[in-house]
Amino acid sequence: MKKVLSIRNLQKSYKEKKAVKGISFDVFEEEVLCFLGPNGAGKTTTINILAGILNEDHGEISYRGEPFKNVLRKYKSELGIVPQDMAIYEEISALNNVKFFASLYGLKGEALETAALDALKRVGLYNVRKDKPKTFSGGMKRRLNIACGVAHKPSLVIFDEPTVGIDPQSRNHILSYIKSLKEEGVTVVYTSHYMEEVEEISTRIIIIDYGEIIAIGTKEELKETLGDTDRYTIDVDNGRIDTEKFYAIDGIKDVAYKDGKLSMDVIRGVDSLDKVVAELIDQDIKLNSLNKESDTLERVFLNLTGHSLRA
Amino acid sequence: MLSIIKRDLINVCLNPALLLYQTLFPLLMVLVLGLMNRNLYDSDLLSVHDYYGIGIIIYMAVNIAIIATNSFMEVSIKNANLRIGYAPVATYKIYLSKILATFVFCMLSLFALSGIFHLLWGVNFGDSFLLFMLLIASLALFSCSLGVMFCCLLKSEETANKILGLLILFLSLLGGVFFHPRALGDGFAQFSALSPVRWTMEGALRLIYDSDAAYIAPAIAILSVLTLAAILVCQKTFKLEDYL
Repeated sequence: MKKVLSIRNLQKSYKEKKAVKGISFDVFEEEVLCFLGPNGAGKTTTINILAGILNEDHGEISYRGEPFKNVLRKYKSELGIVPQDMAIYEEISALNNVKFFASLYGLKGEALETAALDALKRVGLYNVRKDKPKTFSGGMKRRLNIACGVAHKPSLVIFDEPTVGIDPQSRNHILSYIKSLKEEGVTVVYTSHYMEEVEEISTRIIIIDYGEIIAIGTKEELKETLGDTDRYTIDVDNGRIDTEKFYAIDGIKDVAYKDGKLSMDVIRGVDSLDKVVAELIDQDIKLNSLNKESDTLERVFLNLTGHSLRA
Repeated sequence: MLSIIKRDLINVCLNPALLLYQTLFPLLMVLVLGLMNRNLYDSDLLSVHDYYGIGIIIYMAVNIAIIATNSFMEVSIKNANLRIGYAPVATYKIYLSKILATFVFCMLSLFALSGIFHLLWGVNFGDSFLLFMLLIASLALFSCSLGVMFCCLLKSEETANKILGLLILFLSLLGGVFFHPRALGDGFAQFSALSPVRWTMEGALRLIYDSDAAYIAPAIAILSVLTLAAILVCQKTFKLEDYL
C-alpha cells in the first residue's frame, strides 16, 4: 500500500511541557489508523500539526513523498478535518454551515448543493438540514461537525475524538460512517481514548502516552504482546491479603492488590478459578465480583504503559 | 474571500447584542446627552443634537474595534473560524475578512444612524455628506484593523476588549466626542491633537459648518497609513494556532 503521510521525529513543546516527544509513523492509503491514548497523551497536538494549523518544533512530515509544507494547498484540499471541539456556526442552518465550509474547497453551485446535502444525508441530518445547530443535541452537533469536515469528499480524513460525550445512537452512527468511508477507500486517521471504538474500526493502532508512541500494530499484533495469559480482576472487601499464596496455584502469575482490587494473570487454558476462590475463602476475604479479561486492548494498554487508559 | 466576508458579515448581523449595540445604543446616547447638555450648545448654528449626533457617529466608528475583535475571536465562533484555516485558504484572508466585514457592517449602520439622527433631531451633516462619510469610513476601517490587530497581538478577545475599551474611551475623550477638550484645560486640548478621533471630529465640524475640507485629505491619509500599519502587524503576528 502507498504511503499517504510519513512523519519522522515529530516534536512539540508548550513552554516547559513536552507534548510530543519525537514520534514517527506512517499513514497508508485506505487504512483506518487509530491513535489510542488517554487525555493529555499528545493526540490532539499531533492532529493539529497534521492539520497544518500548529507548527512543529522539530520533525519532518511528508505528504505523498513531498514535504507537506511545499504542497500545503494541495494537501489541505485533499484533507478533511473533524476537530474535537465543535467547529460550526450555531446561528445558521445545518445546510448553510456545510455549504459554507465546502465552498472553501472550491465547490460551487449545484455541485456544492449536492455535496452538502449528500454529507448531511450520510450523517443522518438531512431531515433537520434547515434547522439551526443551536437547537441540536450534542450528538447531532457532532454529526454536523463531521458533515462540515467531509462534504468536499477528501481522500484523507482526520477525526479527533469525534464521539466524546455523545449518546450511543450518535456514536453508532459515527462509527458506521467511518466504516463506510473505509469501504470507499478513504484514508482515516482517528484518535480516541475509547478502546471499544478503536477495536471496532481500526486497521492499525498507535498507542500513545505522555507524548511517546508505545506501540504500533494491528489489534492482533498488539494483543500478541500479552502472551498466553488472561487476567482475573477481583473486587474484594478491603483487608489484609497475602498475595504470595496465590503463586502456589497452577498457572498464576503477576498477582497485585490495591484498594480492594486483586488482579492476577493466569496462563490461558489452565483452569485455576476454583483454586483462586478457595484461597480467598481460606484467607477469609469476602469476594464481591470477579471479572476475567482475555486479550482486550485495555489489557494491552495496561501491559505496555503500566497504567489503565482511563486513569 | 468574498464568501468569507459574507459569512462574517452575516455572523455579526445575527448577533443581537452587537446589532443593538451598534443601533439602539447610539440613539440612546444622543437622546440622553442631548437632554443633559441642552443648555450648553443650543444655538442657531449648532444645536446640542448636531454636536452629539456627529460626535456619536464618530464614537461608533471608533468603537467598532470592539465588534471587530468579537467577529475575529469571540468564543462561540472561534472554532468555526478556525475551520476556515483547515481549508486551502490563505491565512491573511481570515483576519482581513473580519476587518472588511465589520467595516461594511459599521458603515451600513452609520449610514442608517445618520438618516435617523437627521429625521429625529434634524442633525446637520452639511452639504458634503459623502465627504463626511469618507472621513468616517477611514476612521472606521482603522478601528476595525486596530481591533483585529489587538487580538493578533494578545491572542485573546477578552483581553483585547478590556484594553481596547479603555483606549477607545481615552481617544474619544481626547477627541472631544462627549465635550470639547478645552473643557479640561489648554494642556489637555493640545494633547488631544494626538488622537485620530480629534482630527476626525475637527475635520467633520469644519467641513459641515465652514465648508472647509482642508482637514479631510490629511486625516484620511494618516488614518490610511495607520490602517495599513495595523494590517501589517496582523500579517506578521497572526497564526492559525492563535485560535486553539
